[in-house]
Amino acid sequence: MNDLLDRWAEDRAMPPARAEAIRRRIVEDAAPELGVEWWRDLFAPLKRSVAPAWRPQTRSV
Amino acid sequence: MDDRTARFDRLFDEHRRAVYALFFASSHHRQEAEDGVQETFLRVWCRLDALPPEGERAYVLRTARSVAVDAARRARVRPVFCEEVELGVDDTHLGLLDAAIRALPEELRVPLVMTALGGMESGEIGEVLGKPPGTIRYLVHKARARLAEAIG
Repeated sequence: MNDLLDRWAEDRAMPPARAEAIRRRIVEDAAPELGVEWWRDLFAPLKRSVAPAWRPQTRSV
Repeated sequence: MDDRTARFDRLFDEHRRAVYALFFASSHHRQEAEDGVQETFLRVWCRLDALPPEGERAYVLRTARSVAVDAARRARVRPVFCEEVELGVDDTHLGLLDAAIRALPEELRVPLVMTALGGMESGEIGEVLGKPPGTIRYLVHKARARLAEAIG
């Protein structure tokens, strides 16, 4: 069970490239003086616009 | 690299795994969890100058919990943007385990995922969930027993 759970955790972990993309976007793009709300609104559509590169676009209604 | 960015990079490296696990434990959805990581560390970045050097991890986890509560509130009124995507689980045993973890009641699934995926200790999981460490250990033990039963 331990080994299997370790493998599951490895499989489900955030890929290092995604983590680095998130880190870089924050430190390079988000000027802290503008506040969280301003950047949250900007980042959400940005993230969706790059989504097709790393996940299939599926939509449920 | 300035001191502020260096401090943020260290915080991100040290705590992103736990933050990701906190969100994944609730959603079982990678993109939701990544959104949670982004939002949490965006808040940390914007408020970094007010963050005391002691208790950094507790602060980051409290921020994540606050983001999760806000996200849950928004989710009640927002449309579903995407469906869960299977993530390369081509191993039969892993697939069975994944299904068994999803099927666990939330009370067991959340502490188990925070332990297995986030590498978190029972004490800090207890702080996030508002339960004593002993209770967390018991719940994780119970979750593992259920999984062993489910996958044979």
